[in-house]
Amino acid sequence: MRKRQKGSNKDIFPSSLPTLEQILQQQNLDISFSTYDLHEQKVAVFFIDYLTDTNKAQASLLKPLLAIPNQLTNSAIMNHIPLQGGETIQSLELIIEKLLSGTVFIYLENEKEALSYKLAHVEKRSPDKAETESLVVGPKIAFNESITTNMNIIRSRVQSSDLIMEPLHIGKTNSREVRIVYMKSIANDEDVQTIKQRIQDLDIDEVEDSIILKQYIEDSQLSFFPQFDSTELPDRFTYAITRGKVGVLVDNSSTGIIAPATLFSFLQSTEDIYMRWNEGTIFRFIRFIAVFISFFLTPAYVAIVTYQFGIIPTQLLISLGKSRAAVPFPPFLEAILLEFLIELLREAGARLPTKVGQTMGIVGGIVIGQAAVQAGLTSNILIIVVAMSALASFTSPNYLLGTTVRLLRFPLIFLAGLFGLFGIVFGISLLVIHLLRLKSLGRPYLLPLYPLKLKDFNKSFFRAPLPYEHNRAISYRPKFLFRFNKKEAAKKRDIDE
Amino acid sequence: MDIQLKVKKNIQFRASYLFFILASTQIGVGIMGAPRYIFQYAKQDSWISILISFLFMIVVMFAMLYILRSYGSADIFGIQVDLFGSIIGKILGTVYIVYFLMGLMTVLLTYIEAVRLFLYPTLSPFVIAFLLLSLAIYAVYGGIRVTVGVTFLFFLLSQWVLLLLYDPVSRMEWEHFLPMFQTPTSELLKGAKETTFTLSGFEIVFLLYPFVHNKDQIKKPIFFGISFAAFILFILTIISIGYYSLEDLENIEWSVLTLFKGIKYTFIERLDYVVVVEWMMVIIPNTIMLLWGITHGIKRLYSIPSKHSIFFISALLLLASSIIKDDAHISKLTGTVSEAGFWIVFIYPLVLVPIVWLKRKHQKQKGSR
Amino acid sequence: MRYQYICFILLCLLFLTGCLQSRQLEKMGVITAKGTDASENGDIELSIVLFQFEAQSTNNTKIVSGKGKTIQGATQNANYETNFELSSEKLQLELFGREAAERGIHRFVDTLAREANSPNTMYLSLSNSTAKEIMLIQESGIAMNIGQYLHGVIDKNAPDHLFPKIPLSTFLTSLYDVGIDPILPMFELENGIPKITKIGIFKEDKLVGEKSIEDRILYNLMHKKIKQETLVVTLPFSSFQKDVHRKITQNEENLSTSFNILSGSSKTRLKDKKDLSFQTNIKLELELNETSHELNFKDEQVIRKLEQAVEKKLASKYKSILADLQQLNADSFGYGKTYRIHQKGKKLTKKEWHKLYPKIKVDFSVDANIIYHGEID
Repeated sequence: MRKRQKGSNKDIFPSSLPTLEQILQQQNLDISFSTYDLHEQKVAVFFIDYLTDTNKAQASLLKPLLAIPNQLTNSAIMNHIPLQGGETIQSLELIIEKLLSGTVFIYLENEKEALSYKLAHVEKRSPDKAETESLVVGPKIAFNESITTNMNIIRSRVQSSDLIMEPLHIGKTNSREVRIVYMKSIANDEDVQTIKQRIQDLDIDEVEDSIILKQYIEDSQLSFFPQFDSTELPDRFTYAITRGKVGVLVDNSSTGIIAPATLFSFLQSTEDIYMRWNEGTIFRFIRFIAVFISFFLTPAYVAIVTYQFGIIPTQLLISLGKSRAAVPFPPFLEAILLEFLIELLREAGARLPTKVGQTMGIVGGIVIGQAAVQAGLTSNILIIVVAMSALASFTSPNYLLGTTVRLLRFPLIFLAGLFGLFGIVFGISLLVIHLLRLKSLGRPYLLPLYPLKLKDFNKSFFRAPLPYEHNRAISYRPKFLFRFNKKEAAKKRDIDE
Repeated sequence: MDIQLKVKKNIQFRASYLFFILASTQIGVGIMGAPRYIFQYAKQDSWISILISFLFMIVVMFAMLYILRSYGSADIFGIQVDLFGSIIGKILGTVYIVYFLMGLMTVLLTYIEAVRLFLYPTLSPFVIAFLLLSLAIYAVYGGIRVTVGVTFLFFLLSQWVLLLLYDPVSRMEWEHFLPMFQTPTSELLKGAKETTFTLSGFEIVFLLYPFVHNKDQIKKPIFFGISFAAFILFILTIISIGYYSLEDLENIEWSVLTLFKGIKYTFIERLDYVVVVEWMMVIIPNTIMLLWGITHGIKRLYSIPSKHSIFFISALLLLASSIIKDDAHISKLTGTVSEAGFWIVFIYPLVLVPIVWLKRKHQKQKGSR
Repeated sequence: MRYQYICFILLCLLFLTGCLQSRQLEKMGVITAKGTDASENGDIELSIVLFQFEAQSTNNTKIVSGKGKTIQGATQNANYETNFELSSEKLQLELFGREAAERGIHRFVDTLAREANSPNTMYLSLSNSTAKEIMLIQESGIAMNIGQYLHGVIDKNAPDHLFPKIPLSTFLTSLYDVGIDPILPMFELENGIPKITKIGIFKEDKLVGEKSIEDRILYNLMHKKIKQETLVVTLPFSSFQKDVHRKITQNEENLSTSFNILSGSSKTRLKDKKDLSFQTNIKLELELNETSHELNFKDEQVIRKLEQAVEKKLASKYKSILADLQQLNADSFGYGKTYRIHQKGKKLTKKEWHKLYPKIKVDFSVDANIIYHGEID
């Protein structure tokens, strides 16, 4: 439709107002079109009602316009209207496009061009508390769906001219604004270039959200693992940016993308830095252990009960054997059943409104679990095992990684059911090799473990006391390594000197 | 075929990883039963045998480094072609590849035997070999850097097993080592030869050398890698001698694995099961490194892409490991491969040194004239 | 693309061949203890204590028995008595009947060691009569699995690596080593309850005699450093007559004392090889816990006297035990080990040592040192 009109309506200016109105109304865009007589001249003001800030239009555009005392010309109008960014536009094509982004047009009859003022009104919520990633200590604000708000938050957190927010557009039918955010003097040029290239090379109709854009530009599409970090927390975003990573914001998306990422960066929370170094380190370790438990515990149960029960001590063996005796399924099915139940609960909890979701959790967790044991469907030790590994999977600061870990458990349970402990070690080996092969923005996914960068261990595994964190992680090859000067070592003194 | 191997910088790795590569390729499947073989000759003085062969290995290491250094960035295939001409060089290169192939086969067969003996007597060897080889193919497909990464990480992931040895150590009888220095030298040397069978594996340096980024710092990691492997064998042999009766050790085939059968903690028992499966993480670096060496060698000699040869080689190994099940056949094969390995790994480099030296001298004279 | 097909076919093959025979815990009869008896005609009779987990029953313990020419055969035979598959993966205790032990247990322990499935951590022990008698005991005082019970009796009565905790691996070492003969704890029914009453003395793999369990510390002292053990010594009362502080008992003959050994160790060396004479020094640090008569410990001399009396008593005890052992030609103390070390150039064989052993002379010297004597003077 639009294409044909393009040819026929290219040169509509100058035209009379009724023709213009007719042409515009043909577009079916709910354009509000009003004409005024001023100083014997006909003026049309048109815009799309619900995309425009009508209050502002009234006060700062219409009012000054009608109050112009003398002959109207485009330049005279521009002089009298106190708004910024007045533009003259000639092609109808462009006019319609601008109308859709909330622009108000003023057209003097028989002029060659129309005046435009952008007075967009975007429905948005004000910045709110984070929903999916929450911090106990630290800022509570989260990104929202408006890119201007998000840019505003980032700029106010990083007040430096070094911070670049490079605009790009993607999507052919539904164009979207994308911003590549990085520190000019710190971020690795290659990384910035790579990510820009990947976005520009995308030849797609539209991108619904930043998480989808992330999937388009990640290194490996087939892997289970997220290769770029995504967050709704501005502090996590700016923390990464100031350490030399590259961020991507997409309009209408409340999630920012951070690249490159490593496996360990998904297990880091900004809370580790808000806490004291020793607490931060311990909590970080708890998270590492939790991921391992979540991944390993249920398969270990299946392997041990199915094949290698010799491993567990005799005392435990007795209680395990007693609770297993009533269960008619093999341990593999038993575990799959219960894991599936937990996944059901999680999925139901995520879909339902918060209050109902809580009730669901209680019903599912306590009632069904208890009943399952009494009905002889599962052993009570497995209930503990599954609950523990489910709980552990939720400790991951990044929801996407937690999901990955939970899902990877299923193939491992399968392997454990097939080959016992041998299957588990096989599964872990396969996973390690897979992680070694993964890349994030061309950088190894297991940095700083392999390739080994011992200097970065205090940034990924431990959390060093702040005075010692005077360098940025060398893993990401930042252009500028030093954050601040190392404190001069105090002269070593003896006790009581 | 080019004598020098030009390797792109982005697939090179740092010399320090050679430590992990050597430590994990040398400590392979052989070490699970090694103390017994050394002990059968050297008795309670086995530790002397290990020291002797360690010194010998250091000598061989220097010989290898001398050969490699005099070429700059060549591997053994290129060097052999340069020294002996295209045809003989290629034949010798093929010998190397066949040796690696047989080595890989013994690794797989021995591990399969251990798994079947200790864990699953009914599990088909085909399945175990298939699983191991599929891991190896997946890793080798990632290229040399992933291969090195696997050796490195799996080395780290398997070291905790050593901590379990605390319990056998506490049960050792130190009198077993007395009286010392009773074994005649000839027997000690036989024991040392047995040791070299277990500790072969550092010949991989001949292939990896062009891939090392900082070639000038190669000496230290190689030395420490060899020392680490020798040290582990040393410790395991000492523990085995102290733990088992002197009259009994010769009869225990998997002496190191059997050590773990006697360990029990309040929260976990039957650690031999855990160790046998965990040993997979010791086997995989071996398998991967050898598989990479084979496919890389085939590419170098016959310009067949690794992508194709890897499947062919794996199929061959899969077939062999599902056919050969007999314990006696496996020991015979292992014996033959070890014997061949002794000559290829330990003696051959020493033979090459004077040839390389003569050739260099010759070239220099030519150059000066 | 072609490779993907090949992989797919191989994967199918994998699942066709890959099915392992599962050994689910609740379908197994988990053996915790095994009693081995030799019957008249050379058959082996096994009494097997096992856990089996059934939904309908609260009692998880079952005892089955089987006869056969070989151990495997007897186990197979025993399996006909239960609907669970017997597995020795968790075997904790092996009990040999007296007769079986007297005939030699090498065959049994060799089978145990050879079996990849069973652990080497199981304890070995003897029964004074038949193993079956102890295994089949139905006593109200023992509510638990009898295998667990016996294992617990052994386990709780010794620190690590010391008698009566003798796991298979330790037994094998002392069985095969030249110059030492193994010992094992012996259970006996006392009022219908199994109790460790004796030390079974082996010559190589045959039970040749027994000693009272009272002397177990003397045995342990010869092999390992010990600490936190109770030592009971009965001394002649006559020499302490004047040191009595307050009279407690009427017994005028003996002074019974009990000590806590804070640390004890021994050292044996060969004094003269030709003469076959050995010197054994034993060093003890003691804490006095209990005496049958209250002595006047304020006097330093009394304590010194007590030490001397203990030293003398222990040395004479060692001497008499050694004489008995020499009679049995069983080297439980392991003097042969010391001898072997000095046998250079030629290997000592078991046969040679058993010829020499009855002739050895040992000088025992005990150095007891009482460090504390309780909270009250």
